[in-house]
Amino acid sequence: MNKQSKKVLLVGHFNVGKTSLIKKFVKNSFSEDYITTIGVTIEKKEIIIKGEHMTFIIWDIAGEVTIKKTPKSYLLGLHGLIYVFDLARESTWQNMQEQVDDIKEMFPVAPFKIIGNKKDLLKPKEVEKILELLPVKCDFTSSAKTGENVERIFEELGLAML
Amino acid sequence: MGQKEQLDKLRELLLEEDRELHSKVTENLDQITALLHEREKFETKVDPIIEDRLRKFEKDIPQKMGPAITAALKVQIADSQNEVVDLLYPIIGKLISKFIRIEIQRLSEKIDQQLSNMFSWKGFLRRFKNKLEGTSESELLLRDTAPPLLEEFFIVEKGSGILIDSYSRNQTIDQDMIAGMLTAIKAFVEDAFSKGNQELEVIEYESYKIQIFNFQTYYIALVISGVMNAKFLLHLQDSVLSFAEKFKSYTSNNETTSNTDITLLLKEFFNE
Ligand SMILES: Nc1nc2c(ncn2[C@@H]2O[C@H](COP(=O)(O)OP(=O)(O)OP(=O)(O)O)[C@@H](O)[C@H]2O)c(=O)[nH]1
Ligand SMILES: [Mg+2]
Repeated sequence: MNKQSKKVLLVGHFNVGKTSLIKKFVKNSFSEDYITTIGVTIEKKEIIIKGEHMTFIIWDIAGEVTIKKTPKSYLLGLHGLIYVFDLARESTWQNMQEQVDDIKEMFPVAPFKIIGNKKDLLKPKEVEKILELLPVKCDFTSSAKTGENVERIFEELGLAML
Repeated sequence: MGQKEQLDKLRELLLEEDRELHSKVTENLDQITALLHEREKFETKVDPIIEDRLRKFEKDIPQKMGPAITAALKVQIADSQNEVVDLLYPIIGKLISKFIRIEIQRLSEKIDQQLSNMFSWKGFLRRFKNKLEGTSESELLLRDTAPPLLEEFFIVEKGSGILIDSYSRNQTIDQDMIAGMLTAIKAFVEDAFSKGNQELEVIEYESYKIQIFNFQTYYIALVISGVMNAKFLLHLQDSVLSFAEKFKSYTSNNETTSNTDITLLLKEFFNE
């Protein structure tokens, strides 16, 4: 098979914008409505990275406060992970250190990106301040609403999964 | 008692339950068969009776087996031997559920057969349904008698749900997505409802059935249209097993399995 298929999972608290980020990336659409994810939804998107076709099979799962609460069977065989938190909601990044440690322990080799989402809700100054307060350095700040950095996140993850 | 004797005793106890269960099923079958032959009574009586028995049969399993197993385990196994329970639990569960499924299917096929042999109950039902739904008689008839047909074949990596290969009569849907979704459904069901290491084997919707065959690192999903019967399922099972045999030698011989090889295998499978 010339094309590579990769299973990618987005994890993080409820209501941080996991589904929205995926929708933006796959369908380039955004909705203000909040419809919480139940179970799993599968999305697919093909991109070309360094001349290679890569198929993202993205598992959009329900948010959980901790990764340990995520059903194990959803995590099986994953190739890459994205941890999403809400920049504007402190409770979604307060326990991040523990989450990141757990993820690294569970998936020591899988590429992994940390994303602070809903950037558009804050002023640039506020974002800066929050980034300083974070217990763990985040890889990207993003907005599923404006689309800022959305494609870049998946491209960087894809690059790391090559 | 030594650990071995305890285990033997336990095995004996469990087997006895199994035998009892089996003779009970056979007895039930005999009774039903006898009833079926009494044509007069049959029309009005057989339906509720069968339903009743099935319900009772299903209800009896946990009731009859549950306490007996628990009691046996309690007496026979000391606290330190929890592992035995862990080991036995999934096996027993699997045995029972498989047994019930097969028996019920056999029972219902037998009833179907008897029905069509004796009088046209189905014809009556069809006309009745047809009145209700406004569907044409021939359309319903066709649906009832459509032979089972293999529509799609997926080989999917377990866990990741990545499609290894697939074959389809009419490629209309995205195969990667289907493989992912099937795996997600499997994961969801297995996580939510099954105790121990049971695995999802069938998904059914109106005129399609997805039959799943689980192997160690991958699973095979077959989409079948038409009316499935036990004979066809048996045939599928055999074909899948021999396919898996060949598939294994392909994957272990050359490290990078060329997809054309698998596709060839699949073609062979479909043309059977
Ligand atoms: N302003 C703004 N709103 C966002 C952004 N991303 C998501 N939202 C909104 O936040 C809400 C939750 O988004 P979802 O994508 O459903 O969140 P989720 O993480 O999938 O939530 P669960 O499925 O419950 O775990 C929705 O109302 C979205 O419209 C963003 O970048 N900016
Ligand atoms: Mg969601």
